[in-house]
Parts: sequence; C-alpha cells; structure tokens
Amino acid sequence: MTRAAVVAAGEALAETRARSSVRRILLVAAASLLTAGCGDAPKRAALYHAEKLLYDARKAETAARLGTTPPDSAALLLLRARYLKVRAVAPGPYTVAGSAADSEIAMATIRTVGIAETQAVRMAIEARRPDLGLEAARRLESEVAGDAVTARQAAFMAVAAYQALRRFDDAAAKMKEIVKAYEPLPPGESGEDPVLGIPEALVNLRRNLGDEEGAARELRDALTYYQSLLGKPRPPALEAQIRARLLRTYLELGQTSRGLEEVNQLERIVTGTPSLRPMLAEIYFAKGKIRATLDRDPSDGITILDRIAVDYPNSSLAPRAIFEAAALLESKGNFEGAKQRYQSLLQRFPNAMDVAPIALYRLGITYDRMGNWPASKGILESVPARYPRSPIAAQAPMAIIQHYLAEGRKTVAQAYLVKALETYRSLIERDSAGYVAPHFRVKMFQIYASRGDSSSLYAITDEMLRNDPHHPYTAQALLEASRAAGRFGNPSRRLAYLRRFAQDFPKSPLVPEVRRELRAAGG
Amino acid sequence: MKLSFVDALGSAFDSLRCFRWREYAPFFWMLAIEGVCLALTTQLQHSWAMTVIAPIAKAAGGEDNLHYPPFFAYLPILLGWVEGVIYSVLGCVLIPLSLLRLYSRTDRALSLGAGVAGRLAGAVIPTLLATLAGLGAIWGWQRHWAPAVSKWIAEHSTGSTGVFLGWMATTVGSYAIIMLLLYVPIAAVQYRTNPVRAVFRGLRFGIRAWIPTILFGLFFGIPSLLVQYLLEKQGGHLISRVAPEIVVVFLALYVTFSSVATYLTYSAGARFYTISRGDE
Repeated sequence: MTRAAVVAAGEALAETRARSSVRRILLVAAASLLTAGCGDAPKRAALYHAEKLLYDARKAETAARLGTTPPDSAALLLLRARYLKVRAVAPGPYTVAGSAADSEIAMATIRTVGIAETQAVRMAIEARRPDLGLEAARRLESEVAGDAVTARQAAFMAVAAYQALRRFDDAAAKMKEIVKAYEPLPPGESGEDPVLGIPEALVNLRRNLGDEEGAARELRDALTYYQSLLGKPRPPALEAQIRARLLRTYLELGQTSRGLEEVNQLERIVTGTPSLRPMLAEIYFAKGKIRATLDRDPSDGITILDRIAVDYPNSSLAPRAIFEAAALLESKGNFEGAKQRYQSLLQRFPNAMDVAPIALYRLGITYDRMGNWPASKGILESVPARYPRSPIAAQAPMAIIQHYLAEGRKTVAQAYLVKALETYRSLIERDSAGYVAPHFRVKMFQIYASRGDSSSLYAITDEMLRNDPHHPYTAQALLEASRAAGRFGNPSRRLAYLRRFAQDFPKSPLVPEVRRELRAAGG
Repeated sequence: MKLSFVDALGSAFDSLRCFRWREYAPFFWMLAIEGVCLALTTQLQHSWAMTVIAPIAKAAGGEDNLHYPPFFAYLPILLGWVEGVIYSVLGCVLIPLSLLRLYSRTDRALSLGAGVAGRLAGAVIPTLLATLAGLGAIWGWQRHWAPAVSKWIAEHSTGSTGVFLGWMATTVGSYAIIMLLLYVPIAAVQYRTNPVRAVFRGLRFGIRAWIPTILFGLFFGIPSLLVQYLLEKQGGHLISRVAPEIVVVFLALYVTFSSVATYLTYSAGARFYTISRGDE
C-alpha cells in the first residue's frame, strides 16, 4: 500500500466517522424533539381532530340548510353521522385529572364531543328518529358527569327527545331531575340560564296536554322552587332573574299582594345594578298588571302596560303587555279599546307566538261581541291559516259553531261541522307529528261523537292511538270511545279500548274502575 | 466614493439576470425547513405532527391557539417566529455561505475552496448579531411605533386607501430596518476583515446605501408583499368562507416568494457593495 493510499484511506475513514457522528447527532436531536415536553401530543392531536370534524360537520349542515329545499330525514341522518364521527376520534373515557395542561385538554375534549353529540341528538330528533337521540343523550350525560355544562346540555337534549317521542311524563320527570341536579348559573352571553325556565316549561307542557290541574300543581311547585333558590345568597344578576320568575309565578297564581312585595324588591336590585336596566320592562309589566288587578279602575295599570310597548319595544314583554292591556279592557267590556290593542299587537308583533295567535282569536271574539259577525267570522276563519301550529287554531272553528248554536241556527251549525272537520284534517296533514296535532284530533273526535258517526269515531280514535299513544287526550278519547262503542252496540271494540287504556295509562286514577269494568264484562 | 443609483439598479437587474441555483441553495434549505413546518401544520390531527408543532407553539407562547380552526389565524404569527429562528440560527451560516458562493464567481481562490471555512466562520457572529438586532428592532417597531403611525395615516386618509397606506408604512418601516443591517453579512465575508470591522463597515454602508437598498428590497419583495397583504386583510374571510387550510397555501406562496426575494436582495446588495467599495 502506498503512502498516498494510506492517507486516502485514512481520510475516507475520517469522513465516514464524521458522517456517522452527524447522523447520530441528528437522530438524537430528532428523538429529543419528539419526546421533550410533548407527552400530551396524542391527546392534543385527538382534540384537534375532534374540533376539525366538528367544524366540517357544522359547515356541511350550513351548506345543506342553505339549499333550495330543506334537508329531508335521510340528509339529516347523514349530517348526524358526521357529528358522530367526532366522538369516534376522541372516544373517552372523559376524565378531568392530572396536570393543569392535561385537565385543560380533557375539558376541551369533553366540550367538543358534547357539542357534537348534542348536535347529533338535534339532528336525530329533526329527522324524526328521537329514539336515536334519546339513547345518545342518555349515554352522553352519564359519560361526561365530570363536566356539568355538557351534562346539562345532554339532559336538555334528553328532554327534547322524550317530548319528540311523546313520552311527556318522562320529559316532565327529566325536567324535574335537571332542576334538582343543576343549580342555575348567573346570566351569560346567551342570557338567562335555561334551568330557570324549566318550571314554566313544565306548566306549559301540562297546559298543552290539556291538563289544567297538573299545570296549577306545576305552578305551585315553581313557586316553591324559586323561593328555595332565594334561600342562598346569589349574584345580583341571578337574584334579579330568580325574583323576576318568582314575580311572574305570583301573578299567574293571582297572588298580587305577594307580587307587589316582590316587584319592590326586584326594583331595588335592578335600579342598583346598571347592567340590569333591561329588566325594568319586567318590573313595569308586573306593576301594570298588579295595579290593574288591585285598583277598582284598571286604567292606570293599563296605561303602564301600554307604555312598555313604547318605551321597551325590543323587550319580549312588549307584545305581552299589549295583550294583557287588551284582555283587561275586554274583560271590563271596553271592546273598542281591546280591539285597537289586539290589532296593534298583530300589526307590530305578528310573530310573537306566545300571544299573537290568541290575540287574533280574541279579536274575532271581540268583533262578535261588538255585533260585527261578518268581521268576526272572517277573523276566526283566518286563525288556523295564519297560526296553524298554535293550539288556538283548534278553538277558532268551534267558536264559530258555538256562535251559530247560541243564535239557535242548528242547521247552519251542523253544516259548519263539516267545514271544521276539513279544516282540522288539513291542519293535521300539514304537521301530523306536531305537538298541536292532538288538539285537532280531539276536536275531530268531539265532532264525530256529537254526530254519532261511529266509524269515523273509531277511525280517529285509532289514529290517536297510532300518533299520540301516551297523550292525555288519547286517554280521554279511549274512555269516551269505549262508552260510545257500548252505545253503538260494539262490545268487542269497547273492551279493546278499555284494555288499551289500562295498558297505556297504568298510572291513571281511573285504571281500577276500568279493570272492574273489564272484569265485569269478562275481559 | 459617491454611491450611484444607476449602480444599485444595475446590481438589482444583474442579480435577477444571473440567478444561480448553487448560490440560492442555502436559502432553499431554509425554505425547505419552513415548508416542512407548514406541511406539518396541515396534519395536526396526527400525534406525530402535533409532537413537532406543539413545542414550537409553546415556545412562541401560542399554546392556546392549538385548536381548530383558530390555529390557522395564528399560523402567520407562528411562521413569523419560525422564520425568525431559522434565519437567525441557520441563516448566520447559510447566508454567508450563499454570499461566498456569489463572490466565488470573481474570486479564484474562493472558487477553489481556499479560505472558505475561515471567512465563513468569521461571518457567523456578525451575521447572527445583525439578524437578531434586526428582528428585535422590527418587533419593537411593529409593537410600539407602527400602530401609532398606521393610525395617524388612517386618520389623515380616507377609507381603504388609508388602511392600505397604514399597512404599507408598517411594512416599509420593517424593510427599512432590515436593509440597514443587510450589508453586515456582506461586509463580514470580505477578505481580511474581522467581526467588529464587519459590523462597523456593514452598518456604515447600510446607512449610506439605505434608500436604494430599500427600493430594490421592496422591488424584489412585491410578490410576497401582495400575498402578505391579502392574507392580513382577507385572512378571516378566507378562513370562514373557503377553508382554514387555505392559509397554508398562501403562507407557502409567501415563504417561497420571500425566500427568493431575500436571496435576490443579498445578491444585489453584494454586487452593489463590491461596485461601490471596490474589491476589499
């Protein structure tokens, strides 16, 4: 080997060593980078993936809703599947523990999965598959017990699913469970905590089911609940909201003197807290209503109520204040004043769904009392067309029939029954699964019963059983239909209806009597 | 020697005309690293990508932005930090290397590799100092003075013109700072110099040649400035209307244009320095 060759070999060896040491340094650096402070990377990556899928699902939903036709059930279930993917990439268990960074990631993951799952529940309910929604809501609530915000959302979605499934008693029980389990939170960006609205929702649920006794019971329970909330010190904003709810409950229960005490307390809090100024409308509303009730002459109270719509036109109480003023005037026989206010409400707040449909109905009645039947009839006939999703749409045709009966025009009233039936049928066809459909079906039932039309009576009873199996109206229809079947000489159908009643409404106080009847009949 | 605008113009056009891959390659390596970082940001749903990006974001104080899609609104800021680190740490070697490759066209010894290591080693510290000083000054300008300048311009102009002029003033201010320090690495790679002398000479030439240097710096920077303006002013719309990931495409365009513009600026600066000072 020559000297030059030795030198060359040495240089080559040195170069190889240098290259291998560079490679080693690079490997160590890469390994250090991969491990140093990156222990949370898999969780963080999973959270990021979940957020990305949630973003994509929301975008897909927005695109679907911007289309010319609203998404059908199949499209909604596909959108639901996109929301469900979020959970698949961050499957849990969802425990908030460990270091501050770990807890932060865990909490953000729970919130993201919670939002996606609640959206999926919403989609399932909208696609008329509330069963899927209920299952998901229950699972979510049990899995995310560590995060009260998400667990509350899941509980609310379960209520919506129960209502969509027409399991109203379960919905009510779940709402009561929420009230017990979750303390109301101070108002955030989205306003009042929905937990505070649950007692009112329970009252409305009972009313929508035609259960006025149940509604009164719920109203008393609401009073106890709001009073118990004030047993603990609360932030001023939350205290004001609780007192406002309490005040409304006193007024609904007719306890005006207690309401007056409450309104004064509320006024002290609101005037002492500048951010609560928008609640002044609530105070004036209560004051107006109390004065109109307590004073011999309600005109001062009505003036206060009238001012609300002028001074606080953007308040949700503005249409309600006009309505209350109109109703007070109507009750005092001032039909002209009532008419003007009903008209003003319908002109300014036609979409105030809590009062506008009733205002239109009352306007029709007011015209009748003023002796203008053609105008009254026209308005009453327009109620189902303008507000087909309001329970008052079921009342309007009956009011026309009652007018004819009061005038002694039985033939005309009989003829109008056919038109009423057509109206109810068209309203049911518009939204057969809606919460007002049972109101229309029960009216049809009453008309068939009054006409002695057995086959139509059985048909509508069977329709109620199919569509509203656990509705109180269905319970009422089953009992009446069984009696009618007895009168029509159809004992097998009578027994079938009684059996179905005992089976579907086991908690009803009438069940022992029904069972006795069944035993007596040998069923 | 008096500086000539014609020489500055000639240097700028020569750098465009005589583009050589071998001289640009060191800038390309820095661009490649930025490109890898950008590619990783599109894959953060995978833990291997998050493992790399999360520590960088943490180090830049932007850990709270590691969420989808807010991360893409933060990405231009993160990339600014990454670019700063790359140009400081790697640039202190790679920028002088590129300049030495440029000078090897006319320097026979350099072309044969003689004295390259020594001149490169001597240029590292001045280049690093110049880059860090430039980044610090730009940070101070953009944080403390630029908002007041932009506000003043916006108040004295109307509508979108005022917004554009305000943004332009901020950008030109940053360019002015960078161009003042551009000649430090160039002076540092010259024959028979030392770090102190390089910094002194580089700064002195930077002050003398400030205006023409800003002009050709802005000229080369036009494509990247356009992308930057679009991203700054329409970034929110792009994220919400198109897709958050579109930001990465614009940033990839920006870093590419910016890398080429930086090389061309150094190349033109080196030519101008040589013409104006003579071969030292």
